[in-house]
Amino acid sequence: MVNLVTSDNESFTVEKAVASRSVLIKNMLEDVGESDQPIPLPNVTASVLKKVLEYCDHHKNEPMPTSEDLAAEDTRKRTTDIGEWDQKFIQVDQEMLFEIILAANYLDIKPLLDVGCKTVANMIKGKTPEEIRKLFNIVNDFTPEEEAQIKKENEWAEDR
Amino acid sequence: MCLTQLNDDVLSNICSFLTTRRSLLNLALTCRAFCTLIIPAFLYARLESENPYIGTSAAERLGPFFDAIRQHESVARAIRHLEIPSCANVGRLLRDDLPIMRNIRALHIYTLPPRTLLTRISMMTHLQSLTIKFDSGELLELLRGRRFRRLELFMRCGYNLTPDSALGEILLCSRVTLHELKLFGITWCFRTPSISRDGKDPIWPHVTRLGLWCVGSGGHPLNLTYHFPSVVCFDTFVKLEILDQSYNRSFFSGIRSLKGNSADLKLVASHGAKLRRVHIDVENGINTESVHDSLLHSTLQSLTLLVGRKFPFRCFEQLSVLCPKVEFLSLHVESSSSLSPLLNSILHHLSALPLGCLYIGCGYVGESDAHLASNDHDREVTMLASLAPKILPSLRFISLTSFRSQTHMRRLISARGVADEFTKISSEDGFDSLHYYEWRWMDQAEHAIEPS
Repeated sequence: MVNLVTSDNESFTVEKAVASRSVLIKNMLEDVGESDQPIPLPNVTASVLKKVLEYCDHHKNEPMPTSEDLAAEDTRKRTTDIGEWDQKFIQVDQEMLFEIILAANYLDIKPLLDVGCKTVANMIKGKTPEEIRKLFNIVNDFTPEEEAQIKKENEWAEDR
Repeated sequence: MCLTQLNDDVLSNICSFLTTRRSLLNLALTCRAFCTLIIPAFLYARLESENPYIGTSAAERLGPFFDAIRQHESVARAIRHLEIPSCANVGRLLRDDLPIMRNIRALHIYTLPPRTLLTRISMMTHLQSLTIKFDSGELLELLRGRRFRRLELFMRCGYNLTPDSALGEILLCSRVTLHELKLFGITWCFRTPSISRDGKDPIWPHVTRLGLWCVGSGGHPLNLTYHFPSVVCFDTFVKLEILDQSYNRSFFSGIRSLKGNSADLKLVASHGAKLRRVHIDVENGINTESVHDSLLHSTLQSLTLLVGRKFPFRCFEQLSVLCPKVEFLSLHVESSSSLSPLLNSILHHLSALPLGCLYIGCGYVGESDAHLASNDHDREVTMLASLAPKILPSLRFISLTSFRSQTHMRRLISARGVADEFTKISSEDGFDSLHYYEWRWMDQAEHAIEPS
């Protein structure tokens, strides 16, 4: 078992197979060897880690993505389709979605990072710039002239 | 927290899942920070060749993209993946003054490139993936000694692939890096050495996807088991008789995904291949018995059939018995008649299948029938949407495409579970889902395709 301590000082004891879905934790465990020392995770809060561990527990028996899998992504088109369990899992509010993404990035859990990023990408698709701003609270800092200029320069991209 | 507060790595990953330029541009137009990040790093990083470009207006549409490359060195540097479609007028876009796209990783040119571009290609030092047509071996000479991850080469002039030829040398240099190889119009002249030469043998251990079209064997046995021991996905469109040899038995038995015609499928299956995906161009005149005997295998999870108007659709009555694992069914029908009988047959006979995705594409309809076909399409969509959730409970995604109309529908998933009804989705999302299902059983390892 592995003991993880969050930024808000909450402690989680989980199976090694679950914690090792995180490449960061896996490498730490390999570096320190067998130890009862708790692993501090200063960038993750308890509420987010709970959710991340739920994901890791569900996927604990799946093979880790190899460097070969990651390299192959370069030459292959990417799709945003998400497995059914993952889709249900990621139905959270926007704040939690971003927190999960950042935690997955920090903990180096590529499949979870992808699930989060695909979800955000799916929220963006098919929306106008104004709708995207509204959805994500983005402040428009362009002047109307600038916006028109960028649109004009990249008109070719609008057909698809 | 706001989207703008995510770090660049995460934002880049999000952008990598935006598969259309329109979505990328709309995100870039929301604020300055995204504009700087997305243009040109993403908007110009990938130019894929989609249907709108395969028409006479391709040069007109792509003109501003190539102008931007000419005007801004930074844009040329940003390009990673470039596909140039095959059409009459696109050649003039690839003029001499096109700067070197130094960072390009993947280049796919489906038209004969002008000679000057060949030199530019040879200067792209990061190129890992190349699709190109040739009418001479000139470019291959320029690429001697280079390593690739993926090669798709169409030789229009014929090419003797000997170990000493330029392509032979490229392939031998790419022994460790090559994962995908597709060759058209070559004569294979590699021998199978009787004595190993310390890891320098003509063996490509990492090639999992192989395509051989119009390939001759030049008097040497083409021993695929020896040269390509790891292939799981095989594409071909010539009859495979020259490969039907006892030494290729092990190669064929390892294939899990096959794209070819009925005879290819018969041959591969006769060597014991446990196929999970087939994409078959079915010849006209095939009868129900032959479909059952030669096309439908119990191990199939993904079935794509290109069929003529006389295809015996009654054969689907037995599909759930003969192929009980099919999750992806894709039918490309060359027909101007209504699809209702086919859809009814699917609804009535496939309820036992774990079908997740159904695609039906219809061929060209004459102008005079277009209005009628459009009405048919709407009626078929309504019928499928209302009946499928009850009859095919596992079905999550439906795509119906005809000459003029295109409808993608899916059952949405929320925290509460799967919705009871199908909802129409955008073509961007639709094609995305379709690609997911098409690739799922292609060459991934067994573990990657099992449901979690």
